[in-house]
Amino acid sequence: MRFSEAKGRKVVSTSTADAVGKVDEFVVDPKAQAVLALVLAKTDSGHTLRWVDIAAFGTDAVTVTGADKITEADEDVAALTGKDHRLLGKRVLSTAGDELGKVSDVEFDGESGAVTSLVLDEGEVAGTRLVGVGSYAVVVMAE
Amino acid sequence: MQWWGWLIVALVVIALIVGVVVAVQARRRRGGVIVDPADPAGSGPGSGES
Amino acid sequence: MRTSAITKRPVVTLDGEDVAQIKDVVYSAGGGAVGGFTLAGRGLFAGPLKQGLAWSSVAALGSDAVMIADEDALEPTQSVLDRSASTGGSGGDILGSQVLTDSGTDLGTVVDVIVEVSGADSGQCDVVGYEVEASQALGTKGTKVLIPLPDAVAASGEHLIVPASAKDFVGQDLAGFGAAVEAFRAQLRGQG
Repeated sequence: MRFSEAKGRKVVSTSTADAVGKVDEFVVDPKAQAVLALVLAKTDSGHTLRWVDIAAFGTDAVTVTGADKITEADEDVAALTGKDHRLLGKRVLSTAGDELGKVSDVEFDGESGAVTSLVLDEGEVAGTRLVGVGSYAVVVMAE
Repeated sequence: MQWWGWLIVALVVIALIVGVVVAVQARRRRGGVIVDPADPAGSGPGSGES
Repeated sequence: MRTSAITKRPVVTLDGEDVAQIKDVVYSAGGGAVGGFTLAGRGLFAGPLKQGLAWSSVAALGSDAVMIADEDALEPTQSVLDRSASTGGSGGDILGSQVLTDSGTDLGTVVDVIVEVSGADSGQCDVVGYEVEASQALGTKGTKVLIPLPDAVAASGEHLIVPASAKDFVGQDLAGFGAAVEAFRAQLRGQG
């Protein structure tokens, strides 16, 4: 599953059958190499949905048991949210100091939330090589 | 001069000052290759002119 | 690698933050070892930083960035300069210095410096030669040539002294320069 296709997907509550929001952004934890939470748009209250609170991330919708799972961001999520921590479009730098390209998309596992790979125009970088994400670049282990 | 005349003068002066600061800072960021830096007790480091 | 390619390169932490850019490359003439770098800030209004980066704190020197573990790798500029300082050294920017042979011939002006990273895990970074805009004496006035550096040489912000025999090992391209440096040093060891 890719960030580019999953963006905009609707989030539906399984208890009320209502749409409670839309996927806007992905909050990634580079140390865990996985998606930590989703930032949602068009919600009634709160904007953050932690990965562990998701019932399922399907190809047509994301399901949650209730809208109460959508909250304001905790400190750990807030620290990883924002322009500085976004992956899409950011330059990719190896630990050897060489630029590999730009992130054009991110492949992730719909069940575990693990980042499987970074997709660059020049090729793919395995998610296990992710070291850090900052305002200047995404840093990955050199091969 | 009308009030807007002074506004234009002010904007031009601001633009000039910003231009000078940007140029001065760019010059100060310019690096070289320093050989055998002086002891702190001795004369200061080289001027960096080339 | 040319030092002209290293200056202005960003210094990036493993967390992806560009904390500075390289300003000067600092080395000691005796041995040619690069002690470290002085730094400047990034951005239009940034000037030189009060901190520098010692070579031992560099995680990697790549073609697009200098990598450091985190901001703790930076140290006060004076302590970086002290690593290459020599007593009685007057120091200065070698770029623009006149290249003189020990027999008093002007070979040209230094326009760039060539360094080499060697040893396991980038243990060592040394100056191995200079790019010189040639004078009449080299027979090709105005062109740029590469002169290898012997192990010890006298250098200041005004002059660079090279053995007269360096003239015979002058090269034109960076690719074959490593071999020229080796050949030159081997010849010096044979004589000394």
